[in-house]
Amino acid sequence: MVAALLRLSSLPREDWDGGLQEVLKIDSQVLSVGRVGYWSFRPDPPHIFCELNYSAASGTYERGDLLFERDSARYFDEVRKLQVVDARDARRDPRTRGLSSYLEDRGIGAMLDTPVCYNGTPVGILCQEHVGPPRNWTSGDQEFALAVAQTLAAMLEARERARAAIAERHASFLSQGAMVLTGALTGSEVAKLAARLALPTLGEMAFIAVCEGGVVIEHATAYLSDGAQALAHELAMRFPRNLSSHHLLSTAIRKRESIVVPARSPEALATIIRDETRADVMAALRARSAMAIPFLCREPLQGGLLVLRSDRPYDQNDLRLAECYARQVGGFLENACLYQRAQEAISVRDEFLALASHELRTPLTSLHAAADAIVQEASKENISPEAMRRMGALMVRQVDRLDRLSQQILDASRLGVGRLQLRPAKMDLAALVREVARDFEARAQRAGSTLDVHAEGPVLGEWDARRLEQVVCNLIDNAVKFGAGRPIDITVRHRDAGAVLTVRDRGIGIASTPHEGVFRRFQRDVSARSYGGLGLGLYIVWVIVEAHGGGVQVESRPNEGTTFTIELPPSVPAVGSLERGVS
Amino acid sequence: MSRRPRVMVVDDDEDILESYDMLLSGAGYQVDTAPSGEIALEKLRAGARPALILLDLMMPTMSGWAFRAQLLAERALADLPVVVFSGDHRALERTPPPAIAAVLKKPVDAATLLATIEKYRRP
Repeated sequence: MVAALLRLSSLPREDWDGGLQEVLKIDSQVLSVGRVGYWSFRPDPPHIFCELNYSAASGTYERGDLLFERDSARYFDEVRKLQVVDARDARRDPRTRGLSSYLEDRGIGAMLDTPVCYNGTPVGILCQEHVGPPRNWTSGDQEFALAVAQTLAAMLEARERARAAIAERHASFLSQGAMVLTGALTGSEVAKLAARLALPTLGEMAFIAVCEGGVVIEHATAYLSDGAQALAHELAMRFPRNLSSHHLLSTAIRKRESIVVPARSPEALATIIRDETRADVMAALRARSAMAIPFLCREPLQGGLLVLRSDRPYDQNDLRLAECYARQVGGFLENACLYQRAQEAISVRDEFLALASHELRTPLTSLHAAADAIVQEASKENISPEAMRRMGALMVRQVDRLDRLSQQILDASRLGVGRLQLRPAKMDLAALVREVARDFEARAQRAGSTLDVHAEGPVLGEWDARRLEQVVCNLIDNAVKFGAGRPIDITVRHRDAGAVLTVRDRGIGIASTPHEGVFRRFQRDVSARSYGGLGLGLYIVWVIVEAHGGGVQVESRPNEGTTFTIELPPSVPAVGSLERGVS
Repeated sequence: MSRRPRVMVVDDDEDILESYDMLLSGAGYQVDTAPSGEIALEKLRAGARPALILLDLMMPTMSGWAFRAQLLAERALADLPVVVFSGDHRALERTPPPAIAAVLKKPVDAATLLATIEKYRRP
């Protein structure tokens, strides 16, 4: 017995699982009992759970049995009062009678149960179960059982200390990460910093991919040893550009699930990762274990972290920490992306404001010059009525231009928040088109273009005439501006009780694809610095036609011209006054 | 009768060309207008020699700066005084003017415009 006690005291305290196996086996041999187990108290509802049980007959370990307090209240009571339960005849003893079905199933005749305490409270029970007839427990038996229970208590304490130390390390790792990542303002910065910060806590090499809509938009690599630089670079270069591949990290990101790969050797890991193009790199890195953790960001943003290590396989602790870290990085990534988008929106707005002020200054310049010219003329002796008339007409034209511009700017801000209200009434689209074309004739002529309207008879429907006038104006204005001085054809006709309007120019065409991009607010196919215009005209066309329940199509070839086709139903669909929300 | 000095206005906006034509003619200049840099170059190469060129910057196909660079590249035209006037104030602040006599921001009042032309025009 002394030798056994010495063996118990010399067990390593850090390894709870291994130590427990050893303790239970020694206990069973010294007291010659068939079964020795350690059970822990658990709540909801109160019960004890068998953490590990050693059976002497088979020499095997098992775990997972449950015993509830409601079935054997007396037994629980005794143990909670820190009493040793020494039942000679366990099936009859009032303290253990409640456990009878458990005892009978396993042929247990006698029990010697000792509470195991941590910080003064019982947290578990060391159970010596004698298989066979009732048995007397000597005071020597009881003393030895108490010594074993104390050994277990010391091991529990060591385990808790080790856990606290790990928790502390993890917390400091995460808080340091948060501190550094706070400073990153772009997705690329977050990825770079997060890869670097992951080491050495999470491994020897880290790789991060950030994706949007399934396509990799950023990636970053970090490594501990200088020798890994070329390999890490190689790994990053070979990472697939979309998430459809079998790559470990792609799979984790796609399935939104962490993957842990423990392997016996670098070669085995390379095989498990399965991507043949990468096997040689993995082998060269000598990595033996890998973890791929997704970031779980909000769509369309996705991303994940791949870490590798060569010293030992990753375990549950590593996984938990890596998942916490990935959650943190995901949050910072989301913020950085939102910030970037806000910056982009601001720069679009700034560009628009610059453009708008330029557009407003052009008619103001003519207006100013004409007014100055009138003052100049008025001071002369021979005032020319013809000159005065021309200047006045020019001034009126500038005021109209300013009015149209401010209307456009107002429309754009209104339509952007969905406040377009239609007032449909019976009208003739063909007549409207002819009228607008007449207004544009002089301008088209100055630009060198002709405007030909093709319409047979009236094209009637119930639409908002004022809004459709804007549509026709914007389309013709566009055709004149980009028509390169070549003929412009406008066609209006019936189709399926509704109407089709086409405006075709033979000018510079739209270079960017898809052509539909020109309908976006503030979107311009040409450089803002060369052609005037707010980039709003076609956007307004699109919103008005959509509100009418119609559609807009565009066909274009660079240097051959552009054709816009508007289709309108016979009347505005009955949704009342349509409220549009367009971003 | 003294010869009236000639000013060339290059701008893609028809209304600006017309209003400047009226204003400058009324102030005693001969005015030559061009709706693009290409047409202005054509006229200059054909022998037109204005005392000063008033140049817009934001024009399709050939920008004001590209036009200026072309003038500088042609020996006969390199010395013509050029005054830039633009509604894109940011561009005027951003780009250092290459060989430009003066920069005017649109809209310009007549007194400033005429004083600038008088100051930089060739006799």
